[in-house]
Amino acid sequence: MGRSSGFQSGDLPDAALHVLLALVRPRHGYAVMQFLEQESAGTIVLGPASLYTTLKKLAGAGLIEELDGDDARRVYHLTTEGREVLVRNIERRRQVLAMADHIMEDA
Amino acid sequence: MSTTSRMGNGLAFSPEKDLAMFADMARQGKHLNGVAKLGHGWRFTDGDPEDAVFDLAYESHPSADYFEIFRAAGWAPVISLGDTHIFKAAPGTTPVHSGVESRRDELTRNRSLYLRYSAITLIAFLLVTLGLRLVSWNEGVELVLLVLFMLPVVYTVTPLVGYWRQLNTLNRSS
Repeated sequence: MGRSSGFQSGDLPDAALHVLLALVRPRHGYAVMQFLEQESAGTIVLGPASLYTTLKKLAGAGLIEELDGDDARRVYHLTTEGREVLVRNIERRRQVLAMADHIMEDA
Repeated sequence: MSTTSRMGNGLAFSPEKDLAMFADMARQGKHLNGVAKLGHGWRFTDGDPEDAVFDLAYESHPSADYFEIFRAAGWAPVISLGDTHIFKAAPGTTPVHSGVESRRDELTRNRSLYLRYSAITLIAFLLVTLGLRLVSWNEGVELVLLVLFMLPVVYTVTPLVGYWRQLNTLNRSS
């Protein structure tokens, strides 16, 4: 279970972080894919199986929730816990990037 | 409507070979529409030649929006066999699995599932074998019983080995 335990511990893999970012506003599955592709200028592209699995895991971990609506076009949104985990993960990556900049400047 | 059948290579062992065969057949105007040869092969119906790529995903309880997400991403459902779903798309479409994680999750789930099935069929086979040793039956009945209980072992252990190998290969390459 080690590989997928990040969803429980809150230490998210990149794909999950991207999906959480897209769900800062309520979106349905495919809109998440489109949003990420547009916002990243095509550098973040999620396949449908990867997206579906990530949505399921995030929902299972209580980080996103389904909003009422059409069952065939489910709309998801961040939960309060999801927002906290998202902010924590962004901060962690910011620290890693700052460290990387520092190391590269010294090299 | 004319149909053609081809032997499969075993989705648990080499799905890429079967997926390439589906694309090759589609280019010849033969379109996948079911299984053949007692589940060991594939059935194709004649139609117009089509340039398409195929991929598969595993999902045991797809929600209502599962296929909708695939369709919206350009992947049209072709057939579903239990929790195995085969899709086709135009060449160049973003792959069904854009990273290794979802593929790894699927293979891990399938391995666990077939590990359970294999344990059950092996225990049943061993119990029958033990029973046949303790009680003397008609030889014909014994043979039929052995074959009857051996078949499920073959059809559960073989996929188990396949998924295990695929998972090991994926873990080594990522």
